[in-house]
Amino acid sequence: MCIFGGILERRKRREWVQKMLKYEILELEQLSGRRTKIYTILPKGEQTDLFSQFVEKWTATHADEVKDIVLRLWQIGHKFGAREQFFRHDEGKPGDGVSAFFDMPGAKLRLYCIRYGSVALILGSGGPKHVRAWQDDPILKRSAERMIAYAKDMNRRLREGDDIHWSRDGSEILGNLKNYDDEEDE
Amino acid sequence: MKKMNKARKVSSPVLDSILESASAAEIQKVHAKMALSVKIADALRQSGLSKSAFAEKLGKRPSEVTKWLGGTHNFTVDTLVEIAHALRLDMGDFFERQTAPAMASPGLPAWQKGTSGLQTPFSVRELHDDGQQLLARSSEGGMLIPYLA
Repeated sequence: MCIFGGILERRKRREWVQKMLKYEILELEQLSGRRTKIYTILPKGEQTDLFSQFVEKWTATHADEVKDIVLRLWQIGHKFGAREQFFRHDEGKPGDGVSAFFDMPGAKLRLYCIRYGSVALILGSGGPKHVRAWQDDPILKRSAERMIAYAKDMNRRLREGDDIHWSRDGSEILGNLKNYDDEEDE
Repeated sequence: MKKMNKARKVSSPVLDSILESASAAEIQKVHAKMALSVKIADALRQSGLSKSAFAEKLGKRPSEVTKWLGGTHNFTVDTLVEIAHALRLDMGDFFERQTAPAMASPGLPAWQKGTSGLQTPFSVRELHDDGQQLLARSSEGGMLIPYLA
């Protein structure tokens, strides 16, 4: 690729990330519980949140795995908390903040998420993993890269603390959970 | 001044249908596997053994132990006996009710306080004892939810 192609590619990617980082953090009422608040992300301009997209997309072909994931998330929310042992961490590179929810033994469905200790979990999307590394599969690559970008953005916002922050008891995320106005231009 | 807005709650019909379609046995299986993995993880932490040392003691690879702790492993009795022996547990300990966790105190985010080692206020035995009450209808959505309070 020539140097201009590389610059163009980077610019397109930057624009994609900027556009994607307009989103709302939603709480998933059915899964969220006293042990762990379970959230997902609704990107600006999309009708369905990332986790619901994941469930709707893969139920047809991976019904058992989807059901298993949903039941385990319910248990995490209400009974066990998002313990470290239930996840694979740093899916991309160390410190990227993105974890993968374990699949059933022998199953291949991966769900990418951002875990904040045992108390909060932000669910993204994912898909079946038939390759060694997620970077080799376009669906997984898109899902993981999206979550890495959201993790980076949310960690920055939580660190700065002006925009979004932890509740006094440290159990939930409060603040400007929708970081755009509906009237804003696309 | 900081905004104190909570996240908007959403309820998905697809999730409702998945939760409603789950049988009591399916819910029990998921719960039991996770409860066992939590029990083993807590016992391992208390033993002071590293995951690698524990694996070596059992003649397993560390990746096998990671799999056990993932909450999806279907343990055989043989494996549980070996784990119990290595961690100096009684087989009955796997099914014993545990104490409730101390909730994070105000001030710092709970996730910054190393709360990953929470004790769990339930057990496999409790699950079976309460088997008849496992499913209760939520008054709001009519959704089937496991009852284990």
